[in-house]
Amino acid sequence: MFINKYGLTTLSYKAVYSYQSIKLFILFRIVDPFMHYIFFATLASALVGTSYLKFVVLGNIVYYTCQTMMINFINMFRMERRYGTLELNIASPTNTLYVIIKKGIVPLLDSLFVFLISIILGGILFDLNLPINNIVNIIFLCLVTMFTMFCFSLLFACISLVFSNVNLFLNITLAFLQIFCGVNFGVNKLPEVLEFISRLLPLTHSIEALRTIYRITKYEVTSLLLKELTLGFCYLILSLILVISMEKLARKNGELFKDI
Amino acid sequence: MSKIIEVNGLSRTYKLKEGLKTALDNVSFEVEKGEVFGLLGPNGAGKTTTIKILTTLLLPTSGEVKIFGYDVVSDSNKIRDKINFVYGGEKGVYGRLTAKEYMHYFCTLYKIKNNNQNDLINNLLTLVQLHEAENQKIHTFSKGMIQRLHIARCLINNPQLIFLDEPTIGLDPLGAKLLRDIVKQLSEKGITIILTTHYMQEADELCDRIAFIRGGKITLIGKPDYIKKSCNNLNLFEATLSINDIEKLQKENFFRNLSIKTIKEPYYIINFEANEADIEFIMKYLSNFAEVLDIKKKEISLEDAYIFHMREVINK
Repeated sequence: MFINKYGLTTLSYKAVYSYQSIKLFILFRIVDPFMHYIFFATLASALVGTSYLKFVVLGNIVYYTCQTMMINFINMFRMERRYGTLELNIASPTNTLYVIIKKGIVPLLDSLFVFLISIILGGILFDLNLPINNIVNIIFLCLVTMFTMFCFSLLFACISLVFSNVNLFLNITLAFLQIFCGVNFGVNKLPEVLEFISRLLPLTHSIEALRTIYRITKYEVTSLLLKELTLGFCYLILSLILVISMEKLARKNGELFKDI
Repeated sequence: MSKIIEVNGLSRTYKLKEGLKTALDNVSFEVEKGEVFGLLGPNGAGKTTTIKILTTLLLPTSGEVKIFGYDVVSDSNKIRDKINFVYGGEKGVYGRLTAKEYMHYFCTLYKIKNNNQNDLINNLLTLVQLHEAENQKIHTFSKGMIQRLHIARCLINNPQLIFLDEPTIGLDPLGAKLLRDIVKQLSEKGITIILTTHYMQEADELCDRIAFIRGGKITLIGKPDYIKKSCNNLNLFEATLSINDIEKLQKENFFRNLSIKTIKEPYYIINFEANEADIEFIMKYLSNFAEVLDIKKKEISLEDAYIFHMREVINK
């Protein structure tokens, strides 16, 4: 009812989005996160004991949500480059950033779905009971985390345009996030300089906030989420600057992106 | 007639690892309203660079380019509202969408109001004869259908100037003919068209004026007839011969750019260029090698003129 079947977002989804069948969706949005959490939970239990299990699973829930958004955002751009349609989009009178944001709505909804499914899976598999009395904080965390991830993915998608091997760039970035955002261990265990870097990345504060909401760690949730929100705005501004600079550079150099 | 395009002293260089490469060197030309203007030249001559600059996708290194009186460097947004472009080939489409959905997508990008989109799309798909395939997925389309869809897409913003970069590349003769007819229709509506193509017959049929571009410079510009007449000193002959020793003829320096087509031994059709214009003399000379069954001086086509002017590049 609220979906415009000829809108930019709907048509972008139909044109370039990877998961268009229920079978694929169930496989990649339910079975795959399930396997991911089982793997890391088993690993954590085997290495440091079951007391650490919830800590790891909560970190991985935020990480997996971000991974979903980034992979799908990048895939859409990769498909646009493969089809040779990106130039046509950019040459149109519609603002490029607006086009990119519209295209990002489906990955955003997709990762929101993954987050919700993961919270349910966490409850069923690892006894991570949703603290209902903290529901306001959960909703706030969900909104802030999604916003920051979206802005980071936007920035990431713009940068990826200059790489011919997008997959390599994507894999390195995801590995970097997994190590430096406190997914499997607290960032306070990192050397000071690296901890400083991790505090500039998305996820770090969201992961700490989620663990606090679930009473695994003790931090100030609102403060963490405000820091995360600030980071999100910074990424948005950087994306904006990057899109404008890249458009100018493309007109100067004669190419917007590397051929793939 | 008003000038739609004014190009003065346009140059463009690219920085490469090997150093600076000049793609366009002091190019100047003008295009009038409603003209079909052909830009012809070998690969790497600077055609696509010219088109990219004219479509505001690339900045010139030096020189001045005005489209509708607007500068391509500072007024690109004003220009983009009034132009559109089609690059040849099968890229630039979303295979999973239907033709109608594809058109809706670009209607939204070109800020066409939702209420007006259906009528516009119907009209455009009818113009390019794709209305019956409007609900068909694009990945099932032939090359010709994709090219026609590109044309429909490029008409969404009602452009007064269209750039067609090798639009008939890879099309079968029927598909190419259909596309040429569409180009003629657009031209009759007063739309100015800039066309690049490697098919000389197509350029001859469609273009009001043609520019030959070579090594980043425009070497000749004018109406197709003018270009053909510029090669009036070119003596091209076609002869039908009965000959036993064709190799002897091939070794003869008198016949330049000799091409030989075998009908059935010992009968051949040869095409060649000679310094001598007198057909009697040529016939007499040929009879030293073969029995001349027929000989005629060829009327110079645009292709002949093109080959004549681009010879240095081709020989490189």
